[in-house]
Amino acid sequence: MSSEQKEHIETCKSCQAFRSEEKQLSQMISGLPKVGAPKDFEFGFRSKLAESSPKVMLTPVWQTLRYALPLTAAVLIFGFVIANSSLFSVDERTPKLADSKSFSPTDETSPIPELKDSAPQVDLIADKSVEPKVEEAPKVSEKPQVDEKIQPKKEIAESKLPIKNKGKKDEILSRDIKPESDSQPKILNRDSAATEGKPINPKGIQPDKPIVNPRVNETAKTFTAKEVLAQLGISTSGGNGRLRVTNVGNNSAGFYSGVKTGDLVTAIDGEKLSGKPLSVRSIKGGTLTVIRQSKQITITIKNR
Amino acid sequence: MALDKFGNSGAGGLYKPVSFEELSDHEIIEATKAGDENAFGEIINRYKQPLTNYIFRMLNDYEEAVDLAQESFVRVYFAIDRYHSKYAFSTYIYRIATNLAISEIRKRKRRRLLSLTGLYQYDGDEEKEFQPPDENPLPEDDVIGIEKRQVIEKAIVALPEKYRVPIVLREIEEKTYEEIADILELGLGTTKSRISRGRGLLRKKMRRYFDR
Repeated sequence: MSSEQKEHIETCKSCQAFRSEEKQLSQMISGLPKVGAPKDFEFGFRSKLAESSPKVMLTPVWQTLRYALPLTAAVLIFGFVIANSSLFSVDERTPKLADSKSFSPTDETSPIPELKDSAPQVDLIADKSVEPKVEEAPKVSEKPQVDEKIQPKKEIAESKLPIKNKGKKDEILSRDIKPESDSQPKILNRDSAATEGKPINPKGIQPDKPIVNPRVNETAKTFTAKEVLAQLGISTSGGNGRLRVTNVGNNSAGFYSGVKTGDLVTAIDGEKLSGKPLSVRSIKGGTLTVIRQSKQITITIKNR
Repeated sequence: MALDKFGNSGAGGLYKPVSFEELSDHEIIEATKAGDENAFGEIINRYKQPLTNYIFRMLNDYEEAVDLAQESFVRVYFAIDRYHSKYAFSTYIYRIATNLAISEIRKRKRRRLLSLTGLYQYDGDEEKEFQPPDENPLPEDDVIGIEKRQVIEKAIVALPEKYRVPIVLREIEEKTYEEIADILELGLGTTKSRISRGRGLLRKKMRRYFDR
């Protein structure tokens, strides 16, 4: 105890009482009789020693193994789990899909890493092949993306626009076909499926070249009635299944076939005009059904 | 003075005409490691009394105290190769004895809990009053003194184990704070704090026996 503590104890009664109790307690405890070991203590110890299994006495090697074996097992299990999880990770699978030759990027010169980057989007690209068709279709209607099945109906709906908006009709009709537009392939005809952006092309198909239907001699394209007549040098106006001849080019096929200005064309090759793209590939050698002076006349187109 | 041999000295121990009493604990342990089993007898001689007393004060059960003291020596013997001389041997063996005593205390606590549930038929005679055959003569027939002794013994056993152990080591075994901290693997401050708290609890129970 320090001198300050001693001085304090001399003056503080509670601390004096506390110190006194502490002293008495220590004396009580230390005054407890000490217990000794029995005389046969060593005998008991030897008995216990003999009873104890020799395995208790571990060799240094086993002592090390006792700790090393569980640790090694834990490390192996952990490594096995990680290895398995990495083998079956989705990320490793996707590059395989990207490497498949069935899918090619829009840029033929693009290296494989680009494929890998876009690999996860393969399905999206497939879907996007439909989207461009839709994106252009709703220019007038301004509708969102439409499925393949819906688009044909759309075209029908658009063709039913009132005649009042003649200008718009022309736009619709002219919009239907864009011969060189890869962004709007005709859905009904798979062979003409050409897309812009990053389309998916079937095997052996080059994106820049038009798709040729082996069943058809000519390039697979669809034409409107106006375009078909224009091939013959016949300019027309109108719609909704009727086109009135406004001009016949001199020395054109239409001229030599006997088409006259004012004729009302109602059918081409027997196919009535309806505003839809015709199934006619070429009018050469075909027939025109016209109405002249309230009489229906069938004109055979003559090649020049 | 050498004890009887513990069977064959299969480890190739050498009998040296040296009094082990003159050797330190570390030297005796080194001799035991070298294969001299007689050396370990000296260790038992030195520590059997204090260990038995220490464990008895912890459990208040003489037979169990002897049993656990013997067990402590068995464990020391089998782990003699792992003993490192950086610790004092007394710290080492007291630590083993403390752990065994604490295990026994907890086992008894569980038994008492089970007896309350009726699952275990706790025999209340297990902890019977023991009159140790100590060599020191008891004080004069002082009823109050005997009563005081019994009360303090029960009060020590009733302490929670984290206070009981340092109190017994400090007050009965007369260990220093540093030695107690090493045995219990605690900090010095924690050791002192627990001893102080233990004393406070004992003081409350023994208040009526204090002279004022």
